[in-house]
Amino acid sequence: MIDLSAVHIDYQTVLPELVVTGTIVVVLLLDLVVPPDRRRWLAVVSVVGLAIALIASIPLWGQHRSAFADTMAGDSFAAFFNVLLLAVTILTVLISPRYLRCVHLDFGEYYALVLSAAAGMMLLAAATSLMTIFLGIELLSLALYVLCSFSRLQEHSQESGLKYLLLGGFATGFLLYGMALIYGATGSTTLLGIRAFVTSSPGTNVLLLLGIGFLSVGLAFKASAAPFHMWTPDVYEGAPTIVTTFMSVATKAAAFAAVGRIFVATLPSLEAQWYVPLALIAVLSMSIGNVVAITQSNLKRLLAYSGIAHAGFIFLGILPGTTDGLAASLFYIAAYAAMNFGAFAVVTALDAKGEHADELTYWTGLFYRRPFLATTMTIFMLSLAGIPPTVGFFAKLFVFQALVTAHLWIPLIVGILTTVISLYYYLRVIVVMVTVPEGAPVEREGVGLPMTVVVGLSALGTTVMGLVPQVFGWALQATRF
Amino acid sequence: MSTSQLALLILIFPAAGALLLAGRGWRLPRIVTKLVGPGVVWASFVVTLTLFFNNASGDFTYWTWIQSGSFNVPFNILIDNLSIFMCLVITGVGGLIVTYAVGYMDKEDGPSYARFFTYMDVFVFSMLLLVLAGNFVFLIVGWALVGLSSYFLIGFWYHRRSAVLAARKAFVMNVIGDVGMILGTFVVFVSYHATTYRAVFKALPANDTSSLELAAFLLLVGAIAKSAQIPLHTWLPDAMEGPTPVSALIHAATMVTAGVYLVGRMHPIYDIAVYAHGAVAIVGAVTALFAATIAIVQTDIKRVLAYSTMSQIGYMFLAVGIGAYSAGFFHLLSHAFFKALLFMAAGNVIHAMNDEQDMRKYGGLLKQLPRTSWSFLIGSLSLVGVIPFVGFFSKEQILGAAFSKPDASLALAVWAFGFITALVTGFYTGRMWWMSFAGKPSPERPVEHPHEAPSVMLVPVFILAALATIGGFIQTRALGFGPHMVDDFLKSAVGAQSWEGGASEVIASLVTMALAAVLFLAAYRIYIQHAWKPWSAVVPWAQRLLERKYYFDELYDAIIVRPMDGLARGGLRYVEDPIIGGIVTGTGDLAEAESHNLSLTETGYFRNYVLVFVAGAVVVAILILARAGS
Amino acid sequence: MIPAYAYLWLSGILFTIGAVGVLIRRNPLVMFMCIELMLNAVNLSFAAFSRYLNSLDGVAFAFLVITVAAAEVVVGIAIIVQVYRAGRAMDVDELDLMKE
Repeated sequence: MIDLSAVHIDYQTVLPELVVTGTIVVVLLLDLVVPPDRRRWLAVVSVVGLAIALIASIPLWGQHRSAFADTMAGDSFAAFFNVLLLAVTILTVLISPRYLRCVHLDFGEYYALVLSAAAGMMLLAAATSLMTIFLGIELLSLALYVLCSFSRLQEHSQESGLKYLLLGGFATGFLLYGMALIYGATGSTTLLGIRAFVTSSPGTNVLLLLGIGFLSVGLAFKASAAPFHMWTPDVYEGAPTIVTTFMSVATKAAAFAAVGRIFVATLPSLEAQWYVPLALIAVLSMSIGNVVAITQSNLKRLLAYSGIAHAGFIFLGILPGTTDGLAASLFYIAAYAAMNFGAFAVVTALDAKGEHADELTYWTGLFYRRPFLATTMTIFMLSLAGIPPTVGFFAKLFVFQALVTAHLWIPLIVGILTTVISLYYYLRVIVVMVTVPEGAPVEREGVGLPMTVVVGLSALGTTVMGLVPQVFGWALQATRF
Repeated sequence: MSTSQLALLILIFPAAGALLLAGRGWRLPRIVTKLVGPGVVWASFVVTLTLFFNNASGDFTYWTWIQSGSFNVPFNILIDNLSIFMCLVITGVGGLIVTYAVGYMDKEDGPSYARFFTYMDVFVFSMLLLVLAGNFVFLIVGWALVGLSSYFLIGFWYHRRSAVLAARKAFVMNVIGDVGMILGTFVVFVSYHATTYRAVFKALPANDTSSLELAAFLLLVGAIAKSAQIPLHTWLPDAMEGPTPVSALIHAATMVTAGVYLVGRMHPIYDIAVYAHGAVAIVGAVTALFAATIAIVQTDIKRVLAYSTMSQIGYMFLAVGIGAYSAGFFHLLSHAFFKALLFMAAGNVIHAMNDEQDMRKYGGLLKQLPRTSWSFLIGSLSLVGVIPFVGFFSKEQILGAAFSKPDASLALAVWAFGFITALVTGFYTGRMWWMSFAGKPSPERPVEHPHEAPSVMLVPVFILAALATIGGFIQTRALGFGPHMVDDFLKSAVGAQSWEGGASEVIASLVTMALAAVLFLAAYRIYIQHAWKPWSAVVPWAQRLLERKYYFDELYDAIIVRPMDGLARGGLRYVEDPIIGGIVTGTGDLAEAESHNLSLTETGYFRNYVLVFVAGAVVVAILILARAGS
Repeated sequence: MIPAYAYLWLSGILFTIGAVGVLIRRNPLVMFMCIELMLNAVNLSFAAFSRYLNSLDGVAFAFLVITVAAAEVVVGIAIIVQVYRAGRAMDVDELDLMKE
């Protein structure tokens, strides 16, 4: 029997999540009293709440706390992801009001949903038990299902929400079945307990392995890794662009936080068993993502396939099963967050006015119409392609280096070759932007200060993050569980 | 200012220029672009000169990458005589070319004009980073950036389909080289646990090892791709689609010589890895002859120059491949002079001929464009290797070194290649010069009374013509006496040549020169006086073989391009389309009929997603259990 | 007493039935019900393991799953009704607005 009185609740560990959850309630209540034309204040309140949560996350750095009977951890790993996820959420909320007004979606519950998705992601990053992992995934998924179908009048949006929901529920089934099998095999739901079981009884355990397999399927789905990626292009294309911006970065980061905790922190001793399926997922993601992206003419779909490919690259760092490899993945996630968020933010900025801004033809000559957006987009594309000296190059370098150290040659070679392939479609976007159209009008209409700042910050992060050595140091520190 | 700050300044100038032009260039007045574009390159040149006269050297670390285990990457700049030498070539010759481009590109409108100089400055920055980097990681950074800016510059006239295709071809070939470089660096890192040159060279084993050979061969792949050597050479002739200043800067003077620099920089590795080192010489020798023969049948003046560039870089590879490093770098310098001269003079001709590049449609330009014609002749004689032009001294030093290398049958074999190449070079250069400038104007000439180029385009040509005329006297080793300034300067960086030539070497040189000059004149008899039957009439099959460039493009098309194309199409058609693309056009009816039956294999659009998901889950489960048994 | 593995087999069979249902049915509502069947199959596993291992974690997990599944139904039904209201047929095969 669980003796509840013995459950120690460490409030510092859960403080960031608590602050965000509290902000959800505040925003929902405020929505009742704020007049429709003042809805931007909801964004301000959300940003304040998120900023407080971000500040509350920093003291967790370097600690080894846990809460709720080892189901949540307050450690550097959680702090790293909290800061990353909260920063992404803050940037998303900052550019939301203008976009939502432009596409007539200015509803208060949007902010509550974004916040709850963020809370779910943070929970996932801090979760050290199968239960909290499940809870985190569901919290973020439920909010995202609604956000994807948020545009009530747009059939694309509806369809994307429904697809995400059905496939997401299906994936949850596999995830849960995997969890049940792991529980049955080890008798524990906490990662600590599972780790203890795995190290003390090294023999082959079919139930456990099958459980790990299903669990990785569920997580790979959330990370949109092949072959569980099929929903990604449709959902990214159909969902409101701002939602795509948010989920493409944050969901992936949170999913990989769980992958890191489970495979590297808990099950490194079974690396020989899980290496082959995970390597297959990584190799398939890189190949399918990068090859199919070439044929895409819709920028949101192109970025969706690029995201699938990047999920594969992030998986590469997991493969060695070492914390150093995981650190490379963490660095990759941070880099991916900066560059991919930036790229989607530029799409969002254009989408706020044009009907088909996500079609590549719309981008012809963008450099002469919107030099700032086009220049930053160029930086993001170069970084996504992995061209030095952007952060994307160093992210790939660190991941490849982890593979070299572990002598995992096949994933390495696939990684390098698919990187080469990917250059083609990223550069195509740049070429389209510098192409001078016939009589290009210069657009004087701005995209708003928040958007300029957010895109500028992302571009700055993309250029500078690779050159500042501390960032990789943080990633290394964060993986010292 | 300290040396370390000056060294950084070399990089900062072009970077700042590129940023300024990229950000504001097309909105600022045109004069700003005209000043900033070349100005920053000259600024770097002045800084480099300062370092040169101060005899500066050192390995400066500006900041350190994180120490991840043994993976330690500093950002360090290596200043030694080799990097200063390369910087002088890049910024000096580069400055002249970018200045020339101010005139050449004047037809472009504002945005394109600024875009061009942005790319040029980015290129100069990348090239400088490549030669200044003190470790493998930043070497790769510069290496990749050089390829990228070259991609943009070749495809500068993006509305020409051929330019875009050429840019893509160059990029793909270059990336193949990049992959080789990266893998080579990985091998170096795994073997010696270091990324800086200093640490790696210190950790090298005394004797040859297989991993060292592997690293050297992989690095050689990078060098071959960047320097357009066989078999990764097919991009260079196509790259002539770019504007002529680009051809002069990138595809003659600087980028394509990066491979030579790489081998020189890595000489501690190649000195030990003898097989890879031998491969360098063989690749160079074969390319030299191969490219020179193709040049005989080309009719596009820039393509002749492109093949001649490949051929001359082959000489440089040959030199560094047999260990005559400073001879190779002397030829690099001399080639930068005369080939940039030839390209820019050719640019003047093309400019005057309304962008016509076919030599058969020129003829008789000597009287109408005298200054350009005489400059072109100086470049040509330098290329042929006639005393006293710079090309004679550098080329004959290489051939002499190969001829006189003791106990080396390989060196003698490559000398034979080099010797024949020199003769062929005399012939095709003669053909080019006589066809373009001598004789009567061609009836097909697009411009009846051409005008000389403006002075901004002539002055750089004259300066280079002067350098090509007197530049050789800094090192007259090929004659067996006189100064050897380049050798002395580079001795500290690449070591001295370990053997000395004798009198026979000088005689061989003079014989080579005489025969090449005779062939140069023979071209006049054939192509202008039509006194002799053209050789192509004697052996038509050889003419065809050369015109098809030994069928390399066709070969690659058959063994790489078409299978890859088929694979991609097939993948899309049979794998992605049915699953991701859903119902393909034309199969709508079929899909409709199928959607009514509930068979598992022919499900509808969305349910295919579920099917793939389940299949994936089953595969994962099988794989994880399969490992359990073992 | 019924042995533990019997429950596990039953759970596995139910899970498979649910998965096959998602695979072959076209009505989103029915697909959703099939997903619920999969979740409940998992719940059965949890309960069986909990009993077999003599630990309460599994039961607690099952309750958690039931709660979350309820929330998922709320969101799911809302979205399905939205799509239905938009005049689309109740057939996932017609969700084909986005394709390349």
